[in-house]
Amino acid sequence: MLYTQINLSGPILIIEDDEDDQLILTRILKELNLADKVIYFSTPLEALDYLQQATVHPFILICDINMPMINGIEFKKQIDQDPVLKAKCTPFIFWSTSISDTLVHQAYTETTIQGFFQKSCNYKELKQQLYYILGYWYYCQHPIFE
Amino acid sequence: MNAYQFSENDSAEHKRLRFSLQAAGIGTWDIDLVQKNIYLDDRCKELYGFSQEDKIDYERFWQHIHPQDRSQVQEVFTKAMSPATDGKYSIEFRIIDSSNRPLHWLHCQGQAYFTRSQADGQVIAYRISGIAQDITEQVTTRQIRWDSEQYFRSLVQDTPVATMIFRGRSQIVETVNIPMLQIISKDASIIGKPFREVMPELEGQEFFDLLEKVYLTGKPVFRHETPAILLTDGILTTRYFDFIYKPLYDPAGEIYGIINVSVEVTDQMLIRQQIEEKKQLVEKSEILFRSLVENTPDVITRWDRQRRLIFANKAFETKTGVANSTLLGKTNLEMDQPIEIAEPYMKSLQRVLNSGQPIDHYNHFPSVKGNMHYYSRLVPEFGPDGSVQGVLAIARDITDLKKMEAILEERVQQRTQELLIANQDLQRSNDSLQQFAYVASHDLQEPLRKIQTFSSLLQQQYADKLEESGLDLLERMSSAGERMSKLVSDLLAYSQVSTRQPSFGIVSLHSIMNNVLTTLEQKISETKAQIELEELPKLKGDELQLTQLFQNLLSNAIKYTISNQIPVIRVTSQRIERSQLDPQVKPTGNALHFYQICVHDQGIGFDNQYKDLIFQVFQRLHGKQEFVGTGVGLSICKRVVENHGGTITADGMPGQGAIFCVYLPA
Repeated sequence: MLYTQINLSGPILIIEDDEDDQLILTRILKELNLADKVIYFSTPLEALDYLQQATVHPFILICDINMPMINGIEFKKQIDQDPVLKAKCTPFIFWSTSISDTLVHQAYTETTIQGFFQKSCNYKELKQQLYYILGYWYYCQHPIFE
Repeated sequence: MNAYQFSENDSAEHKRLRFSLQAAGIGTWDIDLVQKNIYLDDRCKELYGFSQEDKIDYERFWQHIHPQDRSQVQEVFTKAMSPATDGKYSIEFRIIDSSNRPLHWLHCQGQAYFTRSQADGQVIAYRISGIAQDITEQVTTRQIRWDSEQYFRSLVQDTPVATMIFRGRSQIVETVNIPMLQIISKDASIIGKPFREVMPELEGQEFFDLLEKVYLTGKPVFRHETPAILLTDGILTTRYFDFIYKPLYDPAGEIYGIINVSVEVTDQMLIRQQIEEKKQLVEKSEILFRSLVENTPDVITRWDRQRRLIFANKAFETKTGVANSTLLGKTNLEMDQPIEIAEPYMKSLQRVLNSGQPIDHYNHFPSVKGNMHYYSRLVPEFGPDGSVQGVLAIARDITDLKKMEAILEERVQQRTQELLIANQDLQRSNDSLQQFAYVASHDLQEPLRKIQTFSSLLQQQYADKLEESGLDLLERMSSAGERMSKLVSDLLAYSQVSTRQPSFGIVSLHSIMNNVLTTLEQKISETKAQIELEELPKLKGDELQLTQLFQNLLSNAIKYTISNQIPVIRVTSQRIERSQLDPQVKPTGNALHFYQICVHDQGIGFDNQYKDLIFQVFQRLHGKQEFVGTGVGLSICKRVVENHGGTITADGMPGQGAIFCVYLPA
């Protein structure tokens, strides 16, 4: 692992209602030595509350699409309406079980996101996906906030 | 012998005779032809212009006869003295008077006496005697009459009007002029012959009877335009005449003949008849036209330049409910019509008057029967100088039509509404189906993915704690999950092809096929498949669906290969008319031209009894172990071509390969 000991600039926010997925992700992040950097939200509303805090500066947001009450796309649309929040929530990445053409199209055209990934069925592949995503953004420049 | 010799010693009877002769002014004379002695009594001397004392000899006697008449008198004399005659004679002649008396006419009658000559035994006249009468007055009268008759005849001859004169009851043609001869096609030879005889063609016609009647009654006949059938150029022809039959009277007041004056009027008659016939035709058509105008349910009106009503038919009366006579001469505004109806109508009339062009006018107004609708055609009426004199208007009551239209409109509206609702229902059910398919596939995928993820986690991180058999079970579980995942995603694709509205555009099958080959690149290189492509057409279709179609067909052709053989695939294309299609090929649309694109392979083929079955969803002809698949691919193909108004056929033979032909509207 490239960055087993690295310090991320902020927390990894994962908006995911599925406990199984949370379990799998926790396992993977533990293996990547990033378990303490992750914060889970079961609903977008919880995540919004958290993001309102001025001191919060997440490293990345990984968001499911199919969630009860308010889905991932609606959640991102709300974020995009507030320029400060929008900048704070960059990079923002969707990951979803289903990847229908229309859904992918809608996500890229109606919201501002930095990626859309299908949840892999294979644990190893899934771990690799996360590894690459985090590694990419580790080297990438993030917007600066006041 | 001397029976006629008068002497002093005449008997009393002779005296009486002599007296009566003298009273009648008749003179007597006697000539002794043998002795050449002439005896004239006193009266006779007077008649001949001698004085009582004159001694009259034979020579002097002759000298008193007018030289112009002398030879004629001599001739008569000579003739009378011929023994071959009865010796009687009668002659009129003029006398030359020695005095200055006017010219005298004498009428002499007498008798010659004959005897047999003693010398040669021949019969000779020896004496001639007779009486003489002064007929100057009669002759003068006669001469005048003759002259006037001659004049009259020449008048008849010279008149340009056809004239003829009949004499006597037998209608003898006495005088006829050339114009008349021309009319009756005869010549002058008819003169002196009975009319009936020379004009047999008139037999049976009224003219002979008419002449007879005039002759008997004296009542003249005047006729106009009377037909007569006459020989004209050898053909019996009806001709027409104005003519007069007028009786002619002699001095005694007796009818002696008839004058006929005729004027031929055939040409005038024919023209008149033609005019009459035309007039009748015009009248007939006028009656017909009137009947049409009066009985048509259409309202027909005429308006003058001031837009006043000058004619209206019965229908107008019926529709207005007011007698036409009360409306004639009025404009619409003066007819108690609502202003919003009268004004536009008058405007339309004015437009026609100004432009000379017909226009259509539509109006409707409320009545006791409800709202009445009229459609009018306003046509200009032109005068002889080409200027617009007025407007002819034909209005049709289209109320019923309008009602029908409204009902129809309402029905269409209703049907449209129903259709809209049905469509919305369909859309809803389509949407919910799609929603269902999406949710189903997503929600089915979710747990499947978990099964696969967790089983892979087990395999990867707990392999050392599981026995070989445990790992095998995990492997089977994982592949079952994978298959189910594939099944669900294929099903989702099928439902999308079935329910989503295709978006049609002009697409190139050639570029679609290139995309498909790119997608299948890995499989093609793995199997070393040989693919031969013909030129593919452009056509109207949904690019995504068509891509899916050919991807499925090609990947099938690659997949169903006899093991260890290289797939050999050929794609052909041709244009084909609907009429040339095999009867079993039944496109869903009604296009007339198609492209037939066939994918031929040399793979495992199939029994033709399954050629329809293979297009059904989840229908597979082979075990999962032999060929991986869900049985949805061909169903999707069928859906796609049907969406395009085409069809798909399959033809195969076990071990010999298969041909899948797609028919798409050209």
